[in-house]
Amino acid sequence: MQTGIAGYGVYAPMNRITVDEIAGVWGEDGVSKSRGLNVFEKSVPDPDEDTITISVEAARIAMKMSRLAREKIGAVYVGSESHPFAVYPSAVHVAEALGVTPHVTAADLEFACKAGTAGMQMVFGLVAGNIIDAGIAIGADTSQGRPGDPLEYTAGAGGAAFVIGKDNLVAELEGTYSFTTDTPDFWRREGAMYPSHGSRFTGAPAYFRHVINAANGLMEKLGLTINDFDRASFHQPNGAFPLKAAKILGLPLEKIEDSLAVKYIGNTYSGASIVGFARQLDLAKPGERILLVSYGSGAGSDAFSFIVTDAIEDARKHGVPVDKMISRKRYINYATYARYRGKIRMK
Amino acid sequence: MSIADYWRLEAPRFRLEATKCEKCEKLYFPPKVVCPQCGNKELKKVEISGKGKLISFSRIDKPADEHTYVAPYYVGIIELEEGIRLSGSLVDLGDKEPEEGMKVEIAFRKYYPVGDEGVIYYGYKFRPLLMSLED
Repeated sequence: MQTGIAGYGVYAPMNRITVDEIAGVWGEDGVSKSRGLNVFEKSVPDPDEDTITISVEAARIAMKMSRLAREKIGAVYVGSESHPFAVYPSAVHVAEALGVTPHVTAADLEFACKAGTAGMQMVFGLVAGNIIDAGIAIGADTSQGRPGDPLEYTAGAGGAAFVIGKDNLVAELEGTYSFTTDTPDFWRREGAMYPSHGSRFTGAPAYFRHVINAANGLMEKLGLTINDFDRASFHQPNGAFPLKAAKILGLPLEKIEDSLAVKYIGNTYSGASIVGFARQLDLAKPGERILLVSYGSGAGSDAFSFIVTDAIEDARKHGVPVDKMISRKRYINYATYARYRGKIRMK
Repeated sequence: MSIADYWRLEAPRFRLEATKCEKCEKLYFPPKVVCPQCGNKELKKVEISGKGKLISFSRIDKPADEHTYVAPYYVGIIELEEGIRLSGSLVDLGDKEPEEGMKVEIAFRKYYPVGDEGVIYYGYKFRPLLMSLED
């Protein structure tokens, strides 16, 4: 029996700060920064929001769309690089909030920005192997950029959740393939407040090498060409990298443009590629084939091919459109942003 | 709040778990073990919708120390669709003031972190309708 996605949900906090507002604080040209990054604004969590709360909200939407009984859920994985606890899983909070405990396996995952898709692969494996009926994989983050660092313009907050199973499928999995190496382009040491990165080293040997090789590896494995895909979503650290990757692969830009939630909510790290994928699912017609390729620094990419089913049109009535999350917003200034993100040290 | 108290209240605070008396049909939130109305001990666990309307509200400018990180904020009394009334913080108001009669739904949020190294308490708060496509 085919495995696939039975429901999906996206959550983004409603606060926004514009690239122009951040640039103004650091004496940079906001218009030029925004154009270069292809990002206009980013989401900022309220002080009482974190990866756990975002994960719960996204998973509740995904469960509602799937219409699966909670007893069917046998696994909950939360991928993030901003788990609120170093020890005390985000996944148990999510499982408890969804009411799927205690007959469930749960774990937190970390692989920079691809921990969410790593969780999806794990659930697909458990479902395909008939070990569980269905499971939930989530990628969510509230990552930080050091004040004045280029990352500060894009580090947003949000996440996506997927209920994976064999019943009520809105998209069937055709196959998945990963490309992984040890590439030190971005890291955060234990206890460090902000991540560090290798500046330009994050491009060619890191993001592009892994995304392109994962996409090509998947196509070779499935006997497909880039022309077989109707839509795509790649990891989106900014709005420029995925467009460049599409160009390298020979994918028409209009097939990836709809995925670029990064322009409006920033880079949601573990959520980024899958928030874009969810937006493509919102817009896709039955029968369309979607290419999803994540990227996590360190480094690796997971590529997936999905075929959208006829059931998606009815299922959407039970979900919440990604655009609804993007369009609800409240603009904040840099001072409020600094307070909300704990950038003002009180002691 | 002790860790034990928090843990005991997780089901109602995480997912609005209530109990319903199977004899007199009375619904209780927070959940009860014995029905105070008819004395029945056979109470069934049920989850309530989490949707309701705002009955009354108040702005908190000077909260207890553990809540200063979200101040100022609003708390409200909410009447759920099932008729239960409960209090909770209001979030995601944007730049708008709350209004009596406003439709709200539960949001999952942090209550407060216990210092820099203690546990973080989570549970329900309320926001204007978002998850429903009715609004």
